[in-house]
Amino acid sequence: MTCLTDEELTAHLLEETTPERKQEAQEHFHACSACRSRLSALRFAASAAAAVPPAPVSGDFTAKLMARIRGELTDAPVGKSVGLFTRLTAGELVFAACALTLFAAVFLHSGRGQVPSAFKTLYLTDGPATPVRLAALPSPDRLKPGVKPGEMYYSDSCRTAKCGL
Amino acid sequence: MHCSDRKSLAALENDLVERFKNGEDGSFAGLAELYKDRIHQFVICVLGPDRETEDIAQEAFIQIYRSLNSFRGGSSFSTWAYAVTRNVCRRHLRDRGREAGFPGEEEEDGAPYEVPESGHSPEPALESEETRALVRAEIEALSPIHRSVIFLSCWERKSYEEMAQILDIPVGTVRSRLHNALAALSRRLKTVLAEEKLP
Repeated sequence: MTCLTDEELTAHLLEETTPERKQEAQEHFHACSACRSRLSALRFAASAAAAVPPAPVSGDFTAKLMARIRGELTDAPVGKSVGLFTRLTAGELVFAACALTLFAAVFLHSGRGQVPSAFKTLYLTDGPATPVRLAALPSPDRLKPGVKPGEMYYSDSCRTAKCGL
Repeated sequence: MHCSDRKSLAALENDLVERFKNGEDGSFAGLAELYKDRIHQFVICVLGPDRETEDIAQEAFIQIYRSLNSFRGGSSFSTWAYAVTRNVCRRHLRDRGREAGFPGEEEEDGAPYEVPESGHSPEPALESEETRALVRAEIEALSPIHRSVIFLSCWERKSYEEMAQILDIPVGTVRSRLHNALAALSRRLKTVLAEEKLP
């Protein structure tokens, strides 16, 4: 057997190899001092790392954790269902509800939704659209037959459009 | 940790997980007690020593608490819990704007590390607190990639397959990273122990 590759050496050390390969490697180590030395260096590093326990956390870690869990997750049926609403705080939910209401209002008033009294008539005035003209009701003789003043929409005047129409 | 300890630990954690799934929320405190130091250590490995590591470890536990009912037992609890912790750490790194060097990222950790010829005795004396502190410091000086695989392999005794699952990388990558990590640690220890002339 030739010298072990780096990865074969580590796999041998950590026993991540087949029994056959392990046996072959053992025989090779008897004959090869270089591989024996490399294995020994890796083994030293591994045993040194294994001798160092994890750094301890503060004594009240678990108490603090359970308090946080109780505080943050009391309202949510934790573990039973983990969905969008269980992840949102109460403030975020209120904000989302307000945003939804505002969106619905804008949608309905923009004309995309159903409006109970849709503008039915475009009434064109003579001359430029001044506030006075727009605010004033047109004289009855200029109303189209069947049109009620409450259903009228006052718009800017357009002589060309008027003629064209 | 001895093998018998690990077996009894596995039985205990399985029992605690089952009790939690059956509605006994208090059993989670037992799981936290069992894993608090180890999850915290893994956070240190990934993020480095930091004042926030305990807070991040707590966040990891809260995430574990939230997701525990979805744990199906396809792997050991610890493997699953470390994978959850990895995601929490990754999110923190993303928030800080630096994900490079995260143990799960695809980047390679450079050329293969050459193993120094052994100048140590086969059974090094590592019982003293002084030596342990020295080794701990040398491990902390390694990259997050190397710290993580060393912790998972040497302390947690995770297999290649489990480490790949935890770090979300291919098994082949685990093999090369672990070798490079051990070679780097070996080289550092050889230098520092020679200087210190520890037993």
